[in-house]
Amino acid sequence: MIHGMDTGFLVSAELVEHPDHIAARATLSRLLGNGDRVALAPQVLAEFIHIVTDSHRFRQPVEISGARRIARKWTAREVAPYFRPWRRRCNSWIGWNTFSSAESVCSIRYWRQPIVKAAFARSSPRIRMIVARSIASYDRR
Amino acid sequence: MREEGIDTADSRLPSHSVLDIEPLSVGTLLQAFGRDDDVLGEMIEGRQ
Repeated sequence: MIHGMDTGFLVSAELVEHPDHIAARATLSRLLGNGDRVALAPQVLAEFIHIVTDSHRFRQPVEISGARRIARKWTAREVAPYFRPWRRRCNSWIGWNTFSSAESVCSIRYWRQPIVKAAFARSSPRIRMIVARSIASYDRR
Repeated sequence: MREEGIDTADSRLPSHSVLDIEPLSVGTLLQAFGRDDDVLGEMIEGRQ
């Protein structure tokens, strides 16, 4: 089975101060231990960077270069490359905040559709989303 | 077998595991996480 990760789940799995951090890590460990895979929409990587670099949210936000380095790591071997072309899309979203052209802004507005759930649902109904609100009770059934 | 939606052209799988990714520490939380945060809206329209 493939489990889709939304931004909230990614943030909770990454930040030790997040109230759901331990539950998120345990969930990942359990799912991957069962041989399952995970997936994320490339947009989620940009949202992740946006959050962890936010000085309004955290006393010690992550530097942008560090946030991008960690975001790239979330394209690990168990992460299904679910959107074509996978690597180019991920790199575009990881660098989204260096964009300045109107075309890029239009592109981002287009992607504001509920892509994380809807795009997965369109491409494969077999993907089950792990959303932040379900971390504590999530299982693979 | 081709799996629908998967980028089968990308054969360069990373060697590291999700479980190898080190957690980050960001210090004290100044703003609580909301279940329905519109992160993409913030990205486009600016932080509040």
